[in-house]
Amino acid sequence: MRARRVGLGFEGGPTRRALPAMMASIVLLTGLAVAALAGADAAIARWQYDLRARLAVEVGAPSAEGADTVVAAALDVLRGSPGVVAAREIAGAEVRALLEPWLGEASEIASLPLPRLIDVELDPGGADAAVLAARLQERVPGARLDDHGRWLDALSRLALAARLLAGGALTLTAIAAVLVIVLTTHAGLAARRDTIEILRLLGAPDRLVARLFQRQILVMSAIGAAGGFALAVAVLLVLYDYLAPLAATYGLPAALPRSMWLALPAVPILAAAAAALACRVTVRRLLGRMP
Amino acid sequence: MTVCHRGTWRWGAEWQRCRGVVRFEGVGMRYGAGPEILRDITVRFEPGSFHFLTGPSGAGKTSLLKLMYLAERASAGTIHLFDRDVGTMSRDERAAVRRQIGVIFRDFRLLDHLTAFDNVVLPLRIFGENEERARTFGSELLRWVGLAEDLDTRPPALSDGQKQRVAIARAVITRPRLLLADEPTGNVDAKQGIRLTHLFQELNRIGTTVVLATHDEAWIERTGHPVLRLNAGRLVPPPAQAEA
Ligand SMILES: Nc1ncnc2c1ncn2[C@@H]1O[C@H](COP(=O)(O)OP(=O)(O)OP(=O)(O)O)[C@@H](O)[C@H]1O
Ligand SMILES: [Mg+2]
Repeated sequence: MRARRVGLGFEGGPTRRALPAMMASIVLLTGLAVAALAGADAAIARWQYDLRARLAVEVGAPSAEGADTVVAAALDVLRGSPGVVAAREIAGAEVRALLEPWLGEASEIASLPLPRLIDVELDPGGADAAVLAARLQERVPGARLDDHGRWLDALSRLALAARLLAGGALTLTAIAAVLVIVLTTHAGLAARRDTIEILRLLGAPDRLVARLFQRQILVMSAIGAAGGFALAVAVLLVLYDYLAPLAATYGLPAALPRSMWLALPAVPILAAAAAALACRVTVRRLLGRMP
Repeated sequence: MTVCHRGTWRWGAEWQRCRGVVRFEGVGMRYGAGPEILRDITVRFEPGSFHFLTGPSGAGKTSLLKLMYLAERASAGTIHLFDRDVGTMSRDERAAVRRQIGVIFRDFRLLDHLTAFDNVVLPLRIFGENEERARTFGSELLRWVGLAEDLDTRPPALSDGQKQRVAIARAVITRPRLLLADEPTGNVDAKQGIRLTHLFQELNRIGTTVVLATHDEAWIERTGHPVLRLNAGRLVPPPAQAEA
């Protein structure tokens, strides 16, 4: 109450314009870095899930009758294994349809000796593809399980790299953000050193002086942070609009990841809090030098 | 904190504790690591007293006032304000002591981005004084120092004499127990000077202890208040005789 009526501070000063603008750009950039990290994470997690949740078992057999027995045995083993949700044979027509884009006209494919395929749906949490492969190998020779091992390896490396990259970018943005916030606040207050000293000489206690400036810094940075946040959300929505048609093709998540929506609002809040904290520390330090 | 009225120090049971609004004992002062610019200052200002502080330029008048309004620390000796050793006070306690002291700074120290009115009522707002009372007091005082027309003017648009009057109004608006003034009439014309002298006398009459630093020997002569003379950081004549 008291602080507001004292009616002091950054009126007309450069800080009044610089701080909100600076906060807005920092929140925008950090917000986008957060979104990139969350988005990359979600896309990769989705790909990994898809790969882990579906396996194919290929049965190559010399004769059609032999193949029937092997397929039946393999289905038996698969259905009796832990973590397997469903296993079914893919009909010949389906296999042809799958191969068609790669091999050409259906009439020609018809004459090829096609492998028999079993589609296995797994519970990604409860199944171990390697164990399943070994078990199949042992009980049903002639059935080969493709566990996407190489894909998953590559994807894990990609995931790690993407996380490091986005995490690194986010860390750097955050460090830059904090530095800029601290320096802008500091500069704004240093320019007001005289005001602080006069308030002190008129008998204002430290906490009143600190509160006075902290409130203003908080209001200014909150305005900037809110603007930056709105801008970040707008950019993300537009970007998502562009990406949506491609999502299905590339197995991207169908919605902006929840982790992002949780992390994004934290950015402006943390940024404004950092400004207020920097203000508090700076004012206290300036006051500390006055007897 | 013991309240020292005019007279309690003399008659009351509080005599031992109420020995002055300001009490310096062997006080020395230096700026940073520089030389000692005040040396062995022992002086006491009793409640309700009125003192002039004079001496050549560079003698240490402003520095002595700074010690009294707690803008600097003594490098030797002890300072008591309102019967409390300032060296043992917390920061908040020193702020509370400052609120009982009105200071007219040589360089005014007004806030340029506030209007004359807002500058004058600033101490009341810091006190958390009722806003309506602040408004009444503020405009009344500004009218009294002849600035009724300039309530909404900011200091950069005021003359030095006008700024000085704003600074004086700000210093007295809280009816401080101790008023310290550094050349308070240096920038105003003779008529205004007399008016301001009356203001200080009036405040002194209602109990404010006043210490005025000035070069104006004629003013000192006219009022007949006791004088402290500083020379090169020391009191002359010796402190015992300088006391009123
Ligand atoms: N901020 C400072 N830093 C270092 N030395 C200072 C500072 N202020 C004053 N001094 C020195 O302290 C001494 C006393 O200065 P002070 O301002 O107290 O004198 P004064 O009696 O008020 O002079 P004047 O009549 O000119 O105002 C001078 O030698 C001056 O150089
Ligand atoms: Mg001086």
